[in-house]
Amino acid sequence: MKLWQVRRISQGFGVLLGVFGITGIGMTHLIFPGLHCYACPLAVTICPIGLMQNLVVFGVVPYFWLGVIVAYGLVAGRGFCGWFCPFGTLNDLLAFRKVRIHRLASYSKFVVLLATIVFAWVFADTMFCKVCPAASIEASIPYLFLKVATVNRPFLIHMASLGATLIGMVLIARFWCRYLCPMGALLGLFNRVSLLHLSLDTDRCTGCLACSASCPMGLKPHLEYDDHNCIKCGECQEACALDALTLTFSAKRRP
Amino acid sequence: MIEKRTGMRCLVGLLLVATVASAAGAQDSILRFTFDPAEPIVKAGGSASVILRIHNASIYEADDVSVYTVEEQTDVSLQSSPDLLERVPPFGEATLDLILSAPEALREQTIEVNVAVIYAYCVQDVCFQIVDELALTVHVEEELLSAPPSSASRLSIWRWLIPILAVGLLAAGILLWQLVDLTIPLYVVLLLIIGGGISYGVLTYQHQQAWSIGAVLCTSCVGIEEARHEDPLPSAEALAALDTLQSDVELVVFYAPWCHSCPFAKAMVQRLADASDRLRWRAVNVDAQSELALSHGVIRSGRTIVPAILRVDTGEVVFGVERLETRLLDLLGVGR
Repeated sequence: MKLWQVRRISQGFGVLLGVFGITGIGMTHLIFPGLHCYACPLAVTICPIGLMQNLVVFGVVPYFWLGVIVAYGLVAGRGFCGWFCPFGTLNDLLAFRKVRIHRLASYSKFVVLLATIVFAWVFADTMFCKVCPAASIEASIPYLFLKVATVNRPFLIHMASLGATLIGMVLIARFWCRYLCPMGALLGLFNRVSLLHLSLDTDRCTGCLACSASCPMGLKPHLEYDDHNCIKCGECQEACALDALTLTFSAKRRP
Repeated sequence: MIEKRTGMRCLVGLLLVATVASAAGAQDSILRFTFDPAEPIVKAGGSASVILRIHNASIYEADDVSVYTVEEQTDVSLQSSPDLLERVPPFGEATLDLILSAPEALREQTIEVNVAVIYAYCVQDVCFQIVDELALTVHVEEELLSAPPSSASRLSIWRWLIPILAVGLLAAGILLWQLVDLTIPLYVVLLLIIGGGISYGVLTYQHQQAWSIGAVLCTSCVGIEEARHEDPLPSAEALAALDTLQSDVELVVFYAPWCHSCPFAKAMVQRLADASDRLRWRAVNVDAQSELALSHGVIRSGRTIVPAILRVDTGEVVFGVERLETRLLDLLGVGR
């Protein structure tokens, strides 16, 4: 089985966990390793960003949240974005234009993460959730059909946010993951220490840029394999005819 | 003569012994107490009135009845009016008005307040002071229209000491990694944060808190509707419509203490209930009584949705606060 097939199956599991409530199981104590709205009628897991905001509002020292996020970061870093996150999967489905990433703009997701925390603190409310496009798909629209929500101003804000994000995704592959996702920013902090990582055999690499052309995040994987933007999807590994890039699960890293 | 005097002495002695014996046996409480209401509700930052009904079931008069809380550290304070009740006649009744006060910072909870009632009664010349301890269950609720918690109340350096320490260790690990290419200390610190964070989080029930946040959907929190904080004064039309209410109706407001729109929903129902004698309501905290929410059908697709207002006799439910007045009147069957 090829790597991309394994990844699709893994992404399928991510979507399955996202809607596991269809089995009748209610909410669990599990924090989702990606961006997935806990308000989704079929969610059985807690959104890490939604929970983070609530903890900020309550002024709770987030021991449990921090432990879980660091665990996810240490295991795979942004690998969860490439292999598991349902909203990342939607990004993947619309990844038609793999244009080069704008390096400076890619730091904007850290600004979004910081703003999410600051706004939650200042307004004592989950402000990010009100514009989160994942919540638009997973909560706003379903609750409209369940007749809990109506077409009101918050709903229209959600739809505008979702529309803009979808257009962004179509124009730029993984647009949300590149520039705006606060969960991606969190997991990206661990990319250089995570057990799942991309390693480069410099002796084999000829600098042909085949990997760059395949990268949905618009990176040059042979130069930026440790970058906080790398979602470890393995597209570059498959594109490399000389097997210079490999996705590895190990504490040891190639120097 | 001597015999007669001796007999009298014996009689007096026997009477004395009987009096002392009965008095010794009478060192029991002679008063019976009931609180009205039995389980008062007091708003954080507010006060509530409770009547202490005192029934004297004995032939003796009870004097100087006073009331105070046993533990001074208790969050809810108590004052009686009058301070001292001079007498409760034999087989008689009396009442004391108690004022319960809760500080503003108090969270939603149920508190057992230990109340001591002190009084005295005398049998012949022998008097006793009796201290009766009573347990009063007080439900503390947050203010109907409370402001969001202040930033200062959420910030305490001491509570953040351990995370600050962890960040310091992490920074040291990163420095060692960058300067001397030593990764082991960094991984040790990360593993400590994972183990310590999850273990301590579970020990302090943070996983339950996380579950609660996920399991209960606050309509304004995820942007299904806008949160409302204003005082919901009913319109003249609504008050007129309430007058046409034909039968007694009971509403239950399901809420969560952290839900932003719930105080508005509770306040709206309260205002309507103030305007109509036929309307009664009570609030149910879904965090504490999730089974009740489940049994009353305020759960949609596995989520408890708050605020939800249930009409008990018909089972109809209204979710959220958008156009709440109109929808409540429809729920009550008096809408246009």
